[in-house]
Amino acid sequence: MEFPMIYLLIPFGVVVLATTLFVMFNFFHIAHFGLQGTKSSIVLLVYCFSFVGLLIFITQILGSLSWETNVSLDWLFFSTYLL
Amino acid sequence: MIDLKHLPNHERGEEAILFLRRHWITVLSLAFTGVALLMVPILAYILMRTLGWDLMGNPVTGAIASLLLSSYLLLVLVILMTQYTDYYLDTWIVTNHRIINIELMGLFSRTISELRLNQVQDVTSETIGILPTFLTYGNVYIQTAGTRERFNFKNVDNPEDVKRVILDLSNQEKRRSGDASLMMTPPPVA
Repeated sequence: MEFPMIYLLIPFGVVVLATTLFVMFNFFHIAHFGLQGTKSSIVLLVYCFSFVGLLIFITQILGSLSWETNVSLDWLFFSTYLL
Repeated sequence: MIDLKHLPNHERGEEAILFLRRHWITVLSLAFTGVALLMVPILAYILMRTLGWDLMGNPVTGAIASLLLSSYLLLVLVILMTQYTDYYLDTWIVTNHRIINIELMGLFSRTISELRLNQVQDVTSETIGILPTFLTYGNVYIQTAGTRERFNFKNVDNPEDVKRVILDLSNQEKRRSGDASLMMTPPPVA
């Protein structure tokens, strides 16, 4: 059975979604419970920039690859490519 | 400046005297962990090159490797952020009336406990180990009368100074509002 490689991005999308959720939890905690106004703002900025920066980096890596290639399940799970 | 309005039971005329977090060595160890975790894919890549595995040479394995690397980097970011949030929000605040202990346990559980300064019976500071001795950090234990669990300030900077300030404030508060630590002492067992 063959499928386009772009389908592999679906589970990765779930990972990105889960990560975004956790980053938002962290962001909320600092914004809501952080007692030092200026320091908390700096921490929030660092969180934002590091997350957005990593997303840009990942988009650049994944964007440089060709996702049109078809891949078969047999090849994916029983490949001897690395052996 | 510390914004005490976010704290429960904020009292009129209450001022923050000490605002404590764990020592900066905690952040440093977190940074080292981050660097070590970021080294893992680099070392894995070097190992694969040494073994002659060219993952990026094939479009399919290259794509899978890129997805795995991206997922790993996202995971590392979340771990580091969560650890830092835990460090940042674990605080001990000493005001002129009370001691407040705020602890974040995971992302979904937060505990705030407080202690009136006139309930303080005994304050102990503790510095154990070579690094804590050189960098002057350690634990401060605050004991109250009765069965109540003692407050622990873990790995705070200058524990001796913290102890002295708490004892001074406690004595002032006891003179002003009476010694509650004596009232809470359980009766001796016959």
